[in-house]
Amino acid sequence: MEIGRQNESTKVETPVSSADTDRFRSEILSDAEPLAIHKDFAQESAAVQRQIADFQKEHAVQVVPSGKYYDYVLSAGGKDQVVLTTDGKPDSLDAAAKKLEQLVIEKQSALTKIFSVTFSAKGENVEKQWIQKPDCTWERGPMIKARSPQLVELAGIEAALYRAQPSQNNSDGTQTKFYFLEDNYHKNERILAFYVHSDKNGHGAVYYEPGANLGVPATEKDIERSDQTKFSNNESIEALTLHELSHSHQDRMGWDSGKMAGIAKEFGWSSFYDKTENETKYLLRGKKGEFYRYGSDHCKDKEAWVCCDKDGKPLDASGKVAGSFKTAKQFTYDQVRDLAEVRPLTWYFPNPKEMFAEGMMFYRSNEERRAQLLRESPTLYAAVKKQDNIESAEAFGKLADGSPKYIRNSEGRWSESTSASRKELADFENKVKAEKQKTSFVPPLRRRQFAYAG
Amino acid sequence: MPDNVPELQITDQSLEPGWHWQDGWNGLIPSMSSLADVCALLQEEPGSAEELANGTAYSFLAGGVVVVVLSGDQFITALTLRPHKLPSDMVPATMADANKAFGKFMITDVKRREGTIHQRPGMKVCAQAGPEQAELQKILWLEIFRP
Ligand SMILES: [Zn+2]
Repeated sequence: MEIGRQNESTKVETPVSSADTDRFRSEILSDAEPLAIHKDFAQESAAVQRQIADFQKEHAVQVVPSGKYYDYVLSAGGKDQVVLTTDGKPDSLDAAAKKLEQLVIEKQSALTKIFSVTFSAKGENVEKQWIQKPDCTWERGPMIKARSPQLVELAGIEAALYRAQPSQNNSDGTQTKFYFLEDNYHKNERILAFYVHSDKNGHGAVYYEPGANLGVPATEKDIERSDQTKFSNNESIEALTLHELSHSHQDRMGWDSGKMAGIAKEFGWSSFYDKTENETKYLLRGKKGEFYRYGSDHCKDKEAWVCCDKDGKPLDASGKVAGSFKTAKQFTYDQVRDLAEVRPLTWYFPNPKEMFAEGMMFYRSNEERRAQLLRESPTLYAAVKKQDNIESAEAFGKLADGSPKYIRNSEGRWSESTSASRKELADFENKVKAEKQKTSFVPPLRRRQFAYAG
Repeated sequence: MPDNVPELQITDQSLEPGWHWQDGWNGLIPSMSSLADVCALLQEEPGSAEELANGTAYSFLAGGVVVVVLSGDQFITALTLRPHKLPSDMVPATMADANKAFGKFMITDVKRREGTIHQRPGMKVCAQAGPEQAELQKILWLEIFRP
């Protein structure tokens, strides 16, 4: 009998170092000659205003009347950029749409060149939709079609890729493909986005569900400038993509091939064998050695947090086996976060994979988020850092002492591991640890409160 | 479970022909075989033991075979096989192979990240969800248990 084969890639590369967010304006459009017409949107008919609104919805660029012209403004990377100018009349919108499509194609090509990632095309087949029958089993429905991405989505994904690299590389040697779905993957279940282990070709991919990015700021820098009654930190396209690529990271690191239990144990989860469902599942450990789990009695029931015994059996308020989730004592997300041995950073921690992906999103986002992760959940920080460094060493190589050749700086970007960069990072971590425990506020995830990213 | 909670039960008669849980895998049968039986069949001691809250998961053949023994139990409760870590004659590699080897399955879960769970009494298979043809749906893991 043969011992298991390994097919790990040993290819060593170098992280890509500079962002490319300024190159949305295509060379071929630089000599576009806008024609003159004076008009103001306020004076336009309702029909024209609707036309402009529809255009902006479809392309996620703002049409700004500017003298005789329309400027088409993309908000991304913390600034507004005019990506296109036409003559200022509604008739120009069709031509503008065509030129924006060209810009999208050029931007996609640039990202494919740098990161080898690919994107769905308009009208492309994704997979057939999944429909759950009343008996909880599933069947395939109609084919889901894809659309092509918008510039703002490419800007968010680009920002995420510079941070998430090399996690866009799939464990089978291919690269992540980003699909933009025209219908939901699970019928009647709306979420934002999710990572799939296998798309129609059997490779890792990120699926964005309909409406996931509608009106959403491209990057975290754009959140700061946006209407903050609508969006919280970590709700940009960049943050969502960082979360999803953390699942690709997990795939690369073998979480589903036996590594998950060992890694999850390091940040507060114990595995157990669920005899009711015949599956190995996970329990979140409490500070007093108690266990919590997120689940429901039936596939159509809403899931809830309950305290449970070591077999995963939900407990009632007196600590006795309740017999069901419904009759068990239920806990809010915030209660469980407070009771957990290792604090989840957000409300989204139904299992170890998601709690880790949220942590890794914070770790890779920016200095403020990384400091928050370290301050509020040092154990989760350590677990994420360890896996991030293992991935770095495997992808980008090691120094003579076995440590990774590239380390992630406090900003979430890769820098070569030198005594100076290591000191800078240590100084950052020491400073955060020395700060008095701030009761820092995790903003309620307005978009993601109940419709989470998968 | 209280009586009012409907529980998913795979009782469809059309699934019955084919593999039965007592057929086990290479003579190993959940709830009837012991850890020693597993060691004897695979001719090795467990490679690693993962502590579960309610038992232990023992790993063989570099993680290709994992058996769960619950606390206080002398028999194995579940046996998991990972085709990509095992020779192809030991376990089916695709859903088409599994259909041939074991019979029909029902799809009981569509996990967005991991794949699709196909089930028949005593067996759960997690396979790639994306490809439509069973020949192309690679099996990620296969578990047998006493239903
Ligand atoms: Zn997720």
